[in-house]
Amino acid sequence: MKPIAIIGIGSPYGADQTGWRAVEFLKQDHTLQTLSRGQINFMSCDRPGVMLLDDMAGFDCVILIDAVAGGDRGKVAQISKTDLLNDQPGCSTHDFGVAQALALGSQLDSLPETIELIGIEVGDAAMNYLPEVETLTQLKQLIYALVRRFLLSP
Amino acid sequence: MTDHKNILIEVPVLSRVEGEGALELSIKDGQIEKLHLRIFEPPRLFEKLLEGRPYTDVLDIVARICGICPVAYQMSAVHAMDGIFGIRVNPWVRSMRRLLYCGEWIESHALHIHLLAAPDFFGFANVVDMAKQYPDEVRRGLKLQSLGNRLLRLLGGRSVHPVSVCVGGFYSAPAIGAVKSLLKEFKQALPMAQELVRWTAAIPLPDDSQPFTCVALRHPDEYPLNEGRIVSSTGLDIAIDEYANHFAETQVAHSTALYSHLNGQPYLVGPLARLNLNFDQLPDAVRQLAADSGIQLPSQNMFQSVVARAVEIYYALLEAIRIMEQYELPSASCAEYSPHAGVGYGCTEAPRGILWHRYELNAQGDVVQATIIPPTSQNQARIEQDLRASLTSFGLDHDDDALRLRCETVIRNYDPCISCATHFLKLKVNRS
Repeated sequence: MKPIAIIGIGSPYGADQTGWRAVEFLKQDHTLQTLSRGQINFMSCDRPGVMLLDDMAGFDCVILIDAVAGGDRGKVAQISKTDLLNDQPGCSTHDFGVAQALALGSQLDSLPETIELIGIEVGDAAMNYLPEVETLTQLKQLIYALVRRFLLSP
Repeated sequence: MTDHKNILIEVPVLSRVEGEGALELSIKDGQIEKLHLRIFEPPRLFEKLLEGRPYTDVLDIVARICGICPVAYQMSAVHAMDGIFGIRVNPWVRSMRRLLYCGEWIESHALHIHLLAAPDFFGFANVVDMAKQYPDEVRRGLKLQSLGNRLLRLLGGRSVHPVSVCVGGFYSAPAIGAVKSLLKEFKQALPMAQELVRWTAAIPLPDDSQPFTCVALRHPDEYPLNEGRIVSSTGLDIAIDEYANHFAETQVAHSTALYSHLNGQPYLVGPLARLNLNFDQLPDAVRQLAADSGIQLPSQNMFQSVVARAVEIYYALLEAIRIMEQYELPSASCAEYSPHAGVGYGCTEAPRGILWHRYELNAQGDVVQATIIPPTSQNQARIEQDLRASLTSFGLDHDDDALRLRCETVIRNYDPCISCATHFLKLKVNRS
């Protein structure tokens, strides 16, 4: 069994909780546990910065879930690693986000074999948004597909 | 190089910091006419926020002042509370507080050396670029930072804004097995810390010695973390409750932040000041490695701060190992006490320098008044002083990009909370 991690990124504040809420929801899902034979590790990280590399270490497949400012509130979007790595990293400690951590990990050859990033668009709901049932259902289906694809890969 | 007599460099906003800041530099006829570093710090708001709240809230609230050094805020506050209630903590609590602080020094220093300072000295825009040429060094830095964070998690429950510290001790004690497991990794990391010291000592740092006063804690028996008297390189030697008699905070027109002065003069706090004033208190192994690496102390070259941080990482690893090797479960992880009215002081060595707290509580244990003086505030006047000297020494006829980089390098070197934001400086240059 290849080790898989589903990591919610965020903070305890407002819509930034979205990644954490998503992970809490997925943790309770029996189908997901059955599918992976209970081998999925769930984590919630509070603005991990460069330590995201540490959190991902030891896993072959990592699915990151984070809130995305703007867009259509509640929309679930997959973001490609290439797009993220093309983002120009600023590398400030107060602004060392997922893109910067992945850029550094890529440079150091320390990224997991498979990384999937799922963004949940929160629109302008800076303070009040929490993911609705429809969003979580859509997220769950996407996670099923990603886990199946990963488990079937050679 | 360009030849221009009048230059105005404005950095309008240093964003995403512990508050907001800006840098304004005017050069006229080859002389610095104006140099203002402005930092707008939120700790003053925290002081008002604490008023009226029970003492039990203080440790969790002050931890939120900084995500990189929350332990420092908790430690200064908890020592002040212990003082008010007359608590004498048991040796276990004292050791665990020291151990927790070691974790914070390791993670904070490792982060600053590798993500902020080193790219400047090697000419890289950031750590990602530096990692192309120095992957092993960056990996080593991340590993050390990770170890520091894990020590914080072991004792504090989590690495950012730990939740285990309470007045009189800790809410719980870590299991022996967990301590032994981390101890093994700390021992394995010692060669990495030694290599880090040698590596930083070999960096071709700018040679820019300046006269400045160092201020740090000093303890008769150990390298200072949580306890000691406040001493300076100019002969000051006072108890922490005498701080306000010698140090003054003043308002300046260009900043809402307060500037600290010692007897009217800027001064330095932080790793280089600590090392300059406490080198003899380091274990033989650390002093020997420093000597073997060609490190000469005391140093008046502020750029040596990166070396001082590496030396303190090595020390913190050794100190953490010493404490963890002796670890036992305590009979009580927290002292018993009765809250009452009083005034208490706490001064501990945050990664960036001394962090001074004063609290006044009423009979119910609610905060009547709180004063928090962070190291960044104390270094602010010194940074301006350094910028003037460094830029003059560097040469004011350098082009704007070179001047900006020099300004950023000098500022970052102090590891203020604005250090990261200076990576994003947009400069507006007016010439006349």
